[in-house]
Amino acid sequence: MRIFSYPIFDEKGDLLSVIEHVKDITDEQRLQEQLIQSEKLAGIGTLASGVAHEINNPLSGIIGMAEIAMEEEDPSNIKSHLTDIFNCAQRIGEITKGLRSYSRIAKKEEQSLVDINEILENSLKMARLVIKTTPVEVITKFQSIGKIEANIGEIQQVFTNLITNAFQAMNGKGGTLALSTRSSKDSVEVKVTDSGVGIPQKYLNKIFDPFFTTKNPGEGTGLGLNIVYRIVTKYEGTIDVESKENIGTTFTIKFPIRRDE
Amino acid sequence: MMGKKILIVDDEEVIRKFLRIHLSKLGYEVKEATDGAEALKQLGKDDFDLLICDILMPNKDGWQVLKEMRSDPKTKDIPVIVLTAKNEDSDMFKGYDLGANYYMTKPFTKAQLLYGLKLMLGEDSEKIRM
Repeated sequence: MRIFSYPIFDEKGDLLSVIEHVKDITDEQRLQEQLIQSEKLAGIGTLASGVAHEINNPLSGIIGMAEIAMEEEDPSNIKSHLTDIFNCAQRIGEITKGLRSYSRIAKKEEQSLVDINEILENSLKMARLVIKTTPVEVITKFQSIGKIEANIGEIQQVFTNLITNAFQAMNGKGGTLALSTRSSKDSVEVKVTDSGVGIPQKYLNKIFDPFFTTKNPGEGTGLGLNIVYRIVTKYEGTIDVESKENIGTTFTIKFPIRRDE
Repeated sequence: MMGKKILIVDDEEVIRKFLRIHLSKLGYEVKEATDGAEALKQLGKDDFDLLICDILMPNKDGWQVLKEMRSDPKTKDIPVIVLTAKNEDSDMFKGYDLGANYYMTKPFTKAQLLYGLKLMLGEDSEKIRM
């Protein structure tokens, strides 16, 4: 239910009556939930395609070097080919390790103590899989910060969405992405700063609205930042944005730390 | 077959390495580039009989390489094998539309590579034994 109240005043400014308008928003909410779900699925699709691409490269290395090793007669060369195969296999292992946290998204209600520094490293790896060709310098300044109690999949989604947006804002031209964390007495703060195209001032108050997007049709659903906002506020956190066109954008997220007394 | 010159462009070192080993054993002269911009530079300087080209690379990607080389009289007729992990139908159609002669997806085997070489360079199949 959503209730709208319209006060009616007399000439002196005293309240005469209030008109209450009650609206059933069940369908609206259901539709929004469905769309958020489809955004998540679309995200998984994009990620899967990025992961497949990233695995196929070292897999080609394994097949190619194995074929060469099978034909090789000099034992010292075989050792070098096996080292290449080993390194390629390890790369695939790193990719699948990074995916493990995504499987946790399915367990929606499960909460645990989440290390945001670890989440940021992982989100960075995942975002790089999806957007490989943008040459971006990444600067990380991680302080030792307290853990927050949350669903790890949701926190992963917050930072994967923000980092993917940051890469996209650099538009294939490259630039700098700075990730920093610090903690105060009662909260942890994360800053995600890119040197991308920036957000026009007139859009700054709209970016967290559902379905608002400046991307081309088919490239964005306008739900990415809305999901970020919903997750951050669910954990009583805050999110702020500062942006200048053609200079870049900084998102600042704060989560309260729950301390055991 | 001796003397034919092939340029490999791929940002993955291991892929360049095993292509180089296979092709050198077959008697080709092999040059390498690590990104699209470097490949275009080498194509402009030297004469090549074949380009083996990755798609997702830094600086200029494979799509851009195809576009630029097909509009340059010096390079427009060089056969191109696209060798990429982009394996959607739409990627393959885009590759052919931009002027690729043969589209191979990763992972691939030596036999597939040799088949591509036979198609592109018209080599005697006795020489390229699969």
